[in-house]
Amino acid sequence: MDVIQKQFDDFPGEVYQDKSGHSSIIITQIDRFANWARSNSLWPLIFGTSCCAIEMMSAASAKYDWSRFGFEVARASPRQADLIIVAGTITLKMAPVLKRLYDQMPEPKYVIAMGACNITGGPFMLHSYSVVNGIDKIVPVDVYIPGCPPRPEALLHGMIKLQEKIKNTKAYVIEKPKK
Amino acid sequence: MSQPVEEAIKKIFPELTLTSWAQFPAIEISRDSLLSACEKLTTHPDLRFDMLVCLTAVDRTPRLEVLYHLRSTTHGHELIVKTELDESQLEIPSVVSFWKAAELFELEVYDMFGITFTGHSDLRRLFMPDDWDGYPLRKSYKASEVADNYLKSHQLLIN
Repeated sequence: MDVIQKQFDDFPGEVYQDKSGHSSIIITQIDRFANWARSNSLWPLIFGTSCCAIEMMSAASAKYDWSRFGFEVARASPRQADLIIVAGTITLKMAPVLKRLYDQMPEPKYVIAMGACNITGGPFMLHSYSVVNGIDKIVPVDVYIPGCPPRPEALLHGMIKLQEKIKNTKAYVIEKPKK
Repeated sequence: MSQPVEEAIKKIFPELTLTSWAQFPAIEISRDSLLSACEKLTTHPDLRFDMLVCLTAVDRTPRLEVLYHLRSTTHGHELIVKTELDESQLEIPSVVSFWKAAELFELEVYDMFGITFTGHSDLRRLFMPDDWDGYPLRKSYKASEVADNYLKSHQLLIN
């Protein structure tokens, strides 16, 4: 069978097509293929607790349009989401809720800490009785985006960094958080 | 044109001294005479304070002040009523029967300062978690490590 090798920029592998143009053979690695698929269709959970959520909504809107990178299917249920963008201050009363949402998400799952409040507590770091000083105390965080709040461009940059991180990890070894 | 609120207050409460705070006239009422004074403030035709704009408290250790910001929608005048409480006896009668808005304000003051409003039908924690210990806006409250201890006691920490 005569086949022609085709290269696609975004596909991690080699594609061979026959003369009719149908792809007959794909040579790739399972890890690269699975990571390619996963990283290009991350479904974020709709979760915003304060001003960072406004910037997150802006990033989803037509002007910044995170659909370009595969994030458009924002889900209202943690069962259907695999990315949680923690946008906004997490108070002690919200901490059990965030933890439960994270636990309800199916593996593989990723967390983005957006904004100063989620990284260290931000303006509420010292002498605060009500704010979690850094959400990495309660859930494992993949990408930190500094800013108060970060601009939509920064959020997109962080999400693209997360895609890079996913592409460079093993697809079927999932590191569970330490108990 | 009705008379200024200062004159009406002097006439109706001759025993009280009228001071001013910012641009508002202010009077100080003892806890025991609070309810009877509220009765006059709401019903007297020259006062008619029918709106409770704000109810808050200030910790001036060793005493706590409860402040009522009142407004009359018929006359357009405003007044601040102050009540001082001793730290050892933080109880004050509820004013929900005069102003319905006091219901949530009193919950908030109870939550943050631990002042008990006697006569309030449902006094509970409003902003803080139900099992919270202490009253965060009191001067004596130590806020450091409270958050970490809470997370630890609820098994929320991951390492």
